[in-house]
Amino acid sequence: MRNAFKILRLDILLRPIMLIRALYFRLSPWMITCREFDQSIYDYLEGDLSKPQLSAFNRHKRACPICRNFLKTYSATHKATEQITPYSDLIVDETAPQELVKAILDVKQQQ
Amino acid sequence: MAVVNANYGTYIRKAYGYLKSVSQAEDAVQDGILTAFKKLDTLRDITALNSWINKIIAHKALDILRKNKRMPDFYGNVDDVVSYNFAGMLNEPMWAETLTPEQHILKEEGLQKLSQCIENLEDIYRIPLLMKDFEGASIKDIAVLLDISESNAKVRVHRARTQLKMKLGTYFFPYQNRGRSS
Repeated sequence: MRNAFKILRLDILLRPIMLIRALYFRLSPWMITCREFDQSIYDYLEGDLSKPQLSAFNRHKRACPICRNFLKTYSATHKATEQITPYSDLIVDETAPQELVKAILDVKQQQ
Repeated sequence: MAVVNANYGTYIRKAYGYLKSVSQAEDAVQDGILTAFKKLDTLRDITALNSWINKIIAHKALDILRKNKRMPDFYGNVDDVVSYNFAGMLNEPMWAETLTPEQHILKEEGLQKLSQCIENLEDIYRIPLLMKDFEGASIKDIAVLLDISESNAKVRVHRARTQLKMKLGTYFFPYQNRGRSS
């Protein structure tokens, strides 16, 4: 499957079919478009979609391989960012400098 | 005081995320901590001290960004990061060779790459993303802090993640976007 996409560039060959599909999405009221799908991805991952919205979302997800792939890579990136702490490789002073400690103590004494 | 000593590095890293400069981050943090201690009597719940200091530091960092005149225009609408063709179909490949990001992240290389990509994001996307995904702030908090509407904040976080995905695209998903202009 992977080779079919890689060597034969099936995704390019399938483009006309996908275009007809996209026009079908646009013209049918029970389908959401790719744009609407993109707009509701955030709420989908947060679990904020209402029942009808969720079913429309899933209907589009089943029908559109492009959006399915988009969602897959998007959520993978989201998961990856959730796992790390940013800039943990940045070298900084881990302890507060003496001047700051002094200033804080001064403030405390004034209070 | 112990709170400050234990979290000092974390504060600096957080401010660095906003300002992209260590010396300015130190300024923001020290200023923020001093302000926090000066107004300590207005804090009702002492157990919330850490998150309170964090909030003040975020304010100070945003102030410095404004002073630098690098303050992004948070008020306007954001453009679509992704593109659509005339039929309204997403201009994206439908197949990606997926390597699990977790495997990459475990290596330091992956972490550095991710930090670098986040750093290269525009301010209007980076700051909401840092707040949401790394500080765990709610959309409401982000909207209040940046003085924008909640839906706008939501859109910004979403766009930031999309941009990050695209920047990482060729790294985690080598097949994606190869030889393609989308």
